[in-house]
Amino acid sequence: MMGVIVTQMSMNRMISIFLLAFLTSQTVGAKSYFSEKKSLGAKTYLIKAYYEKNHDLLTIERKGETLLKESFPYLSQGFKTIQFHSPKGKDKDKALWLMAFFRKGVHGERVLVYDLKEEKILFNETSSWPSEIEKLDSGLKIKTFGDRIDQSDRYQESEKTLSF
Amino acid sequence: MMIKSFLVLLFTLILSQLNAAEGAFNQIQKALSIQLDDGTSTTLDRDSFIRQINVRDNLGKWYAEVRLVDDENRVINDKVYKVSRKYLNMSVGVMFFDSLSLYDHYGNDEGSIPGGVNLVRLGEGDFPWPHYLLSVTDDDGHPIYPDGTPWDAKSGDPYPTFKVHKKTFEAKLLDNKVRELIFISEQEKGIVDGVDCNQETTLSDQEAMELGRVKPKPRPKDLKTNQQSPYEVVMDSRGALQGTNSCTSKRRAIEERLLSGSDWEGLSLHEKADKVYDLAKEVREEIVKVSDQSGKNQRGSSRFANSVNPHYFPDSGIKPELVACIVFQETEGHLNFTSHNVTYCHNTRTPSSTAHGLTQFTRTTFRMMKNHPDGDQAPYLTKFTEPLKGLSATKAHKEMSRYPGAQIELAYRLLNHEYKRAYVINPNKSRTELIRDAVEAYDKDNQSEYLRNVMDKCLPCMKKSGNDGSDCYSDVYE
Repeated sequence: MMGVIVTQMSMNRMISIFLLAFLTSQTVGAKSYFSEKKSLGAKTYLIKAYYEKNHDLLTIERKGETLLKESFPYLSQGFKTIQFHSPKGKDKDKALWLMAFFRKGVHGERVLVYDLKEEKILFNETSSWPSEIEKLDSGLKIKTFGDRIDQSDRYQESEKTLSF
Repeated sequence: MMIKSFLVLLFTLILSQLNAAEGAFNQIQKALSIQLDDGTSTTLDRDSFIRQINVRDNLGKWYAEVRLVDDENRVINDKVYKVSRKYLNMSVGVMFFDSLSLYDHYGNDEGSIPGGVNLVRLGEGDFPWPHYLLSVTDDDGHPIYPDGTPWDAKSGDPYPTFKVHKKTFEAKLLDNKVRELIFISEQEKGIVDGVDCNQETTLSDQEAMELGRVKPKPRPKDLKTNQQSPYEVVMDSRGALQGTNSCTSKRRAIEERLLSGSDWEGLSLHEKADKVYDLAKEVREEIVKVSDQSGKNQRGSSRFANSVNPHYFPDSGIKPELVACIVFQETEGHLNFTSHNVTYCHNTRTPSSTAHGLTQFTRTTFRMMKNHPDGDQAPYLTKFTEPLKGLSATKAHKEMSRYPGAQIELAYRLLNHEYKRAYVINPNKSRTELIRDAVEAYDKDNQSEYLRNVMDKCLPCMKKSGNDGSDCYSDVYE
């Protein structure tokens, strides 16, 4: 009889704890945007983008080791999207690049390009307006925008080409 | 026992909110190629049934995942197939003859789409009311918003999905079937005017539509109602203007024309500059008034909690002079609340930015403010944002192009949030440094001409007593 009552109470407590944890996480505002494993040869990378206390974070891990951890204020510099780019065909294992796009201000953008194979940042710049990216077979061409030119409706442009 | 039943019920209710869209059950109208993980593919015949699974996880990917089912939605085998999202959209989509009201996740109004647009059922659920989850696509199966703007994956905006009332959707499906039956029976009876059923003939599109047989064409380009917001009107002209040399001047002319009927009509640049400053003062007064009324315009002990409390509007913080200067910088040369942005004229499928108005806010920034994980940072509490109540964030962002007061209020709320957030990071900073941080958050970076114009030139000018908007606008920009 006692055994049955104890089991009943433990079950209720477990459910209560679960519900409490669930409700708490909803209140404090957890949010995961992206979580994906990418492989290159024998290596596997875990890429995550998520919200944590007024910041959006991007992390890249390999075998539990953090290769990259970037944190930006949620509202003004938050996460937009992630894309990947690699050479085509027989060269596809030669490189794998991660392209992360974040906001910068009310209409700007940050572009972060990370080389997963070399484990380094290739490009990390901001633009007044969304960047224009061309995915080439040989790499990337990235155009970003700066300040307005005099009183025209044009903005200073910067272009950079990255090669695999 | 009762407690356990209650908890199980609560658990189920919560789960049902999380999984508001179960997989959709669709019938194929065009043959589809489907693919297994091992790369083998097969063709699914027309009229087969499929069930979409893992819908939310796969939105935005090139593929959808489906199971094969029978006509009662019972699984035929245990395999999961990949199918091109675009081709699936074209294969399972339906079109209605008249408009359909769309809603966002919370049941807020997203506007309506006219008849003749491809609708794809993605799932169904019961929150906040019994609904189907749909996406809307163009003729190529590419997702679009209700106004026809294609979804841009790079923008960071989520894949557009909409909820519709189940009953409404089912009534329209029935209407389609009835029209089809009428056509078939009239054809059999040889009733159809001008058509000899004994020989092959081509109906005009108009006749075919009236008979309910042919899917209506995508929405006519000249569909204009005086319900359209300035944002939508300007966008409607983009096709003819983008990539041309006269795009900017022509676009400005349209934006200027859209001021008619408002009290900005016919004003000179200097008069508009003064009006911006007056409006900035009025909006701030109203924000503080409603904040005080809420009883939550108080500084608490937690700096973080203060930063995400939208009602807390520190007296030392964002003032009308600063907001006026930001508007001058963002809309230098025209100061029109109906303006779009520089990317409008780029020769891209859609403008790469949705920024518009006096404050040049993008849809994404607007959405992020409304859907902040720690609470809505721009609650619609003042008379300026009253017209946006009940609208989805996407729709409200566009509608804001009608309301310069709402545009300015959103700028205040963002700057106020950033001012408080800067204080969380470094409470030892001076007021000027905190304001500078807020402006930097609004703009691109801290070395730019933007920051210099706003903080070092315009703001000191505006603070001098006796100076009006027009004085400082001409000082900095003329």
